[in-house]
Amino acid sequence: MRILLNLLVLLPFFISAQSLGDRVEAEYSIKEIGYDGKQSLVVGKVFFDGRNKTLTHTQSFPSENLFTFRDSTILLVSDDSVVMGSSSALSIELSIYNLILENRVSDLGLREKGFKLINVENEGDKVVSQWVYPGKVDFGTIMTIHKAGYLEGLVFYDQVGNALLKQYFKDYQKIGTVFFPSKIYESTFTPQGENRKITTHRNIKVNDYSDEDNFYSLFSNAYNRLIRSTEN
Amino acid sequence: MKKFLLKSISLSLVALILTTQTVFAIPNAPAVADEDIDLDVDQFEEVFQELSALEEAVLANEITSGEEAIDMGFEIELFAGLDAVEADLEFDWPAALWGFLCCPIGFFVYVTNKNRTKDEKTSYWIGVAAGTVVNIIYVAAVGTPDF
Repeated sequence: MRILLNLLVLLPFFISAQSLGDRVEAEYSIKEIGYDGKQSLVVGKVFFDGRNKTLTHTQSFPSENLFTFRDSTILLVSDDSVVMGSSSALSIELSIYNLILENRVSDLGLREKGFKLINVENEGDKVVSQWVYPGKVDFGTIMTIHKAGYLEGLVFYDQVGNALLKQYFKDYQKIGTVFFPSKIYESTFTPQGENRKITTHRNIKVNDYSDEDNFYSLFSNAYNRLIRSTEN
Repeated sequence: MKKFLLKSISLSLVALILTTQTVFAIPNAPAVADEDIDLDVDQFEEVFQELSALEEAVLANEITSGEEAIDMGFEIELFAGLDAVEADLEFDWPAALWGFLCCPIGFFVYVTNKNRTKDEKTSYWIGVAAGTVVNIIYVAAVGTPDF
């Protein structure tokens, strides 16, 4: 009986931590207009391998490049040269793709990172939550917007309430058991002005292993050994 | 057994009350602007018409370079510079790449981390602001990144 009660208490944690798979593959395009009116377009494919914890982009426009994250290692392949770098701060665990697969995208890991929820309000059909970071930081509150249970918006404010960054997640697609936002609208407010960006994901595949060998064949054997190694 | 059940229920109620108080106690929660809650997608997309046309052409014709796009009649000047980089900034391209790829998460990693340097944080913001691999290639082209 005691075990049953303990399980009942812990059930929500098990549900929230439920993994939805270990593969995301999609084509993407990123359109951006800078504060000065300059424009940018990037087109490519993203491949997230949750089992090996690698995140790889194969860019096809405006030039063909390949780069991959593996934990704190980054490989950038361009013009037949390979640059390898590392940064201890990077973590594939916190990538948007991993959060989606681990069913943790609803608050983007805010609670996990130590943010405190200070306010929850209903605004029409949306639930607006405000978060603060308890330590000394260079920004103010963070607002998350949910609609029908899905994360629809995320806004970072500075300490006097001006928006620093706005992100809106739209056009969710149901891929198997995963809901994936196929469009992300983003505004970044810099001292120079506002930058706007639209990221579009197409042909999203979740837990589809059919392209795996083709994908890894993009890498030479040496790098394949590195990025497909199960040892971190 | 009954005692244990009562104890479990009492503890659950206390936890529920404490959680509710934590959630709904509002220490200076700032007012939220309506335009922050509802994005006007049509208005946002409107300024991207030229880029959207280029995007369609790139996808339909499998264009792989800016030169090909120009040859097809697109007169968009795609930026590849790093205008926002401070002259004395030691550019941290992993931070910029992280900002490009996983913006909100990069925000946590860099901006909320007291151990990050000003240059790293600035690089992150540049990654967010620039948001293109073009910039990364530019960095790779002009010098070996310093790790």
